[in-house]
Amino acid sequence: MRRYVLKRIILILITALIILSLTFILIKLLPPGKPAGTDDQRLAFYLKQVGLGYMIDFDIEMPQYGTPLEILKDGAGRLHYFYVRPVMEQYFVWIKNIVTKWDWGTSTIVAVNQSCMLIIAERLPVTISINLIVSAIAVPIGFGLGIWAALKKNKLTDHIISTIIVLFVSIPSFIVIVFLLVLFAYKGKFVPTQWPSMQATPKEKALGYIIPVVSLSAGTICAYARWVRAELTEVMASEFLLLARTKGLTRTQSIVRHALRNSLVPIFPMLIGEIIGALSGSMVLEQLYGIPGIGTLYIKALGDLKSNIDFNLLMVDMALVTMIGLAAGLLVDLSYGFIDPRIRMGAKK
Amino acid sequence: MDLLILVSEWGQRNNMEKNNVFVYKDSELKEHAITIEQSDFEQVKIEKRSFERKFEDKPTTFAKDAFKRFLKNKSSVAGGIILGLILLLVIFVPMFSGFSTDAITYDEKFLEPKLFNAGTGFWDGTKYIDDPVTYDEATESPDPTYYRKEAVSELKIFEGYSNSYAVYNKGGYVRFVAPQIFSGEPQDRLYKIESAYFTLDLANQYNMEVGFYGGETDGDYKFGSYKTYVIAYENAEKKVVLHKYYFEDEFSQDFTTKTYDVTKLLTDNGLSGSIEYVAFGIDQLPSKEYNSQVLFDKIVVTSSDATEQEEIFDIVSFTDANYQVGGVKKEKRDGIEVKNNLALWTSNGNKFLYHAYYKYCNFRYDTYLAAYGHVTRVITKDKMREYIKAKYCTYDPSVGPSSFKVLNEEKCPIVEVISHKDISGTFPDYEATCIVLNYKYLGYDKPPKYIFGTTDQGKDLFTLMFKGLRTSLLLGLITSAVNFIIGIIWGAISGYFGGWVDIFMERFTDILGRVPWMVIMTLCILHLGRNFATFALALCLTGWMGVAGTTRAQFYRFKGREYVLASRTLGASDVRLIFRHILPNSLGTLVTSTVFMIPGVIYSESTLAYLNLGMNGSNTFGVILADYRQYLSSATYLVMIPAVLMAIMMVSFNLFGNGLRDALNPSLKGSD
Repeated sequence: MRRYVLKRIILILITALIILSLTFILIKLLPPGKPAGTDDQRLAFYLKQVGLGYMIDFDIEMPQYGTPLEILKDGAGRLHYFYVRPVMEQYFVWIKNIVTKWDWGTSTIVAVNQSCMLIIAERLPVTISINLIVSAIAVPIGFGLGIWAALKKNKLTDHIISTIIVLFVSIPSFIVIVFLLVLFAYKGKFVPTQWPSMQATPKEKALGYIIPVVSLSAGTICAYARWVRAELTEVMASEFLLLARTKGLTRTQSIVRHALRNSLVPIFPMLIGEIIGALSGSMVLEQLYGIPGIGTLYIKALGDLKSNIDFNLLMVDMALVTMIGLAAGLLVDLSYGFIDPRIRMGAKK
Repeated sequence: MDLLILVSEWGQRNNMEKNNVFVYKDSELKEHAITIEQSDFEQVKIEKRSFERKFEDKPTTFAKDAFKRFLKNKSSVAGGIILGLILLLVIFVPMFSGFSTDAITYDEKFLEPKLFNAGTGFWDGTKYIDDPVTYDEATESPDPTYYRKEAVSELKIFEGYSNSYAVYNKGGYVRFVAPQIFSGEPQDRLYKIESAYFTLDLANQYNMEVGFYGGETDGDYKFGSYKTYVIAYENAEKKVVLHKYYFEDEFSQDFTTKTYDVTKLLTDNGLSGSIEYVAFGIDQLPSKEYNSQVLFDKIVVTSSDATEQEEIFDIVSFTDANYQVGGVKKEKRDGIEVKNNLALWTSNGNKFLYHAYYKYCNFRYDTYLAAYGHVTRVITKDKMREYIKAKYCTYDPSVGPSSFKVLNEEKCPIVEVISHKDISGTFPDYEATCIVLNYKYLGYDKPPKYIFGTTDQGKDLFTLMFKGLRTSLLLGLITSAVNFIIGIIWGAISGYFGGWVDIFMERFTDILGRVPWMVIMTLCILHLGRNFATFALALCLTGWMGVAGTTRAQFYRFKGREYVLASRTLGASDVRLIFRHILPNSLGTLVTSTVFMIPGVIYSESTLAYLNLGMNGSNTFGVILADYRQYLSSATYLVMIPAVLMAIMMVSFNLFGNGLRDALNPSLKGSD
């Protein structure tokens, strides 16, 4: 087992390296973005980039490096010709910086000269808190609904729950947000129409969670309920459950001890995948409700898609999303083995 | 047959002269003769030998069976019908709607959805405005800068009090606030509110009237204590000395309307004649515990000299706190905003407005009447000539408004010419200000009805939405078709051949599949721009892997089956095995996953539009959904109608797809 885990982790690191390398090179092939701000700030930024190894600084023009990105004069009156390094050189510098110094570069547009890691760290708590609340709400409700529907199969309760499930599984969350905004924020005026600012009172801040959490959990609850219902109805029809009943267990006993446990085998790994995957955030939700999470950061880093793309920040954000996705995949695979001893991941035939 | 042979043998034994005549005896030993001619024999089938026969009744085909099973699932049928309807609308609405989605007419912007005639109160192009709108008493209508009086009905007027300035507010009090002090003694730091300086002649009688208010108030304030004073300039030995004379010695908390005798106060203090600089003021003692306030609704200074009263004291006096605090410049007199007197009162405390009276109203607003009814417009020479040429009306620009006459009552947009203005220049022109019936002016024979309303640019939402959906569906169809084909080929090769080929192909999809969808989309958009082709490419780059995975799994499932083996022993080629034997078995699952891909594409496209990465220049459905979200509060229908359509479409796709999956599942074949 340990060998398998190690193998998988190494494989994930290789996959991540390939993905991030390709992304880095493809992104750096775009024309480089110039920072915003005053001359001094820009100079500081360029010097930092030179220090990080993405650019070269000369005091005379060097035509063999192409045209300089910007020519600036420092306080001492020295002219700086800033050239962008070739993409592959930048790439190796980037890898070296990450591996040796865990330095992912500084932001160019969103927060000039600030460390990208810090910017991400500032915004991550909001995204994580929302998604953890969503999971905390969605798991019990979703499982409860699914079990209820499965136990009342083909009765009115089941039909009602199934209809709700079909509705919310199909309707995208951004449409749910629109409905919620109209009903509760604009017409009802119970909740704020935008994510409350930092200065808002604790009550306002708490109310601000309602729309994001409800809109995200509606779909998730129904997805969980659908899985649980499908798995449980299948297990309920199996022969070992009949055996359990014939040996004298009550219906409740047989369901709780046998049916439920067995139905959770395929569900639990999916659950872990969902929860981990949700940490990368719902960009649309964050954008729509103005939540300062990593999703909005991604859009901010993209800028107007032309001149003001924040490359380093974008790379960090992409890396984060990629790593979360890869980690979720690994955890799903591993948890199969932990939950069901019959499944040996990576075992030979 | 046996009988015939026997008979023939028997006949030949009798050695008849003709060998084609057969004689036999029946059970009663009576003789019969049969003559057999050549023509009696006929070959049943000359070319084809048949060993088996087809069934008389037609067998049911796979498609028929699937269709039969699909029909049993009622919700899927409903989903399918709705999808069909949407598809018809998508094809025909942009063709036959009659409303252009290219032209921008701001006259027709934000018309509410209208299906019925106005007056039904539902879907009739009217909008009930239940947010308070200020009521203008002068025109007896809601705020005339935004609403046209004739389109207003069901008007309900309410009264209220406001602490903030508005044009239609009235009265109220000036709230003079002395902020709470945190250090020092209150006596050192009096807060004052003081008028501008002016000149007065003590020969006249001057009075100052202050309307203090001491009733209940809101907010975190307590009433402070005040002293009213006059400041007068005294020319003492060529030194400018300003003296502050209080009307009362003690700080007072008497909040009633008070009249102070200014002349008496100054003469009592030994002043006489003309004084160059005089100002009035109120001092307030701040508190250590709370923000203290003094409220007054007016300060009026009167003089026994009428001209002085008008010229000087108009700078000081005020009666309407709303106007004063709002800072409205009513008029200028010699460079000074005369009516905004409070602005000339200086203060080191705060001046707020308190309890200004206003009327507000709720009402039903007919957006169509407002847009297409009578409006005042400037008609240029060219336009007027056009009307005259078409014999709608006659107009003589040299005579002016009185010469206007309507000839064609039905067509002529102009109802009345109000005024006429000649424009001189190289090309003499004129402008006639007219009252026109706007729908005729815009070129309609009767006011149009927009069943889903119009957008911020006056475009018909109904047409626009289905036109956008057409682009989105086309994108969905193209990408799913491409994904389907690539996925099947990839998955078939990977699944059928297995071994090293499979391992390599799997690793490839593993890595490509792990790249987040957003990252691929972003890279494509960054490099190739935001157009249809980029979107299609980006969606294809990731989309085919799902189909490939399903195909691969299906191939692993079926490739070892006996029927495949049998076919292989008969010498079938790989291509034949893949496409003739294995693929049809997994087609059901694949078709279903492709059907689910279409709403997936619409979803992705909308997601991108919500992230401001939507397709450039074309109004796809997602772009419409995302763009109008800024009007969520003002024109809710612009967001709600596309959102509802999206919801209906997604649910229908899901129901339809589920039904299709069950129907196309070969293991369920003939189960019902």
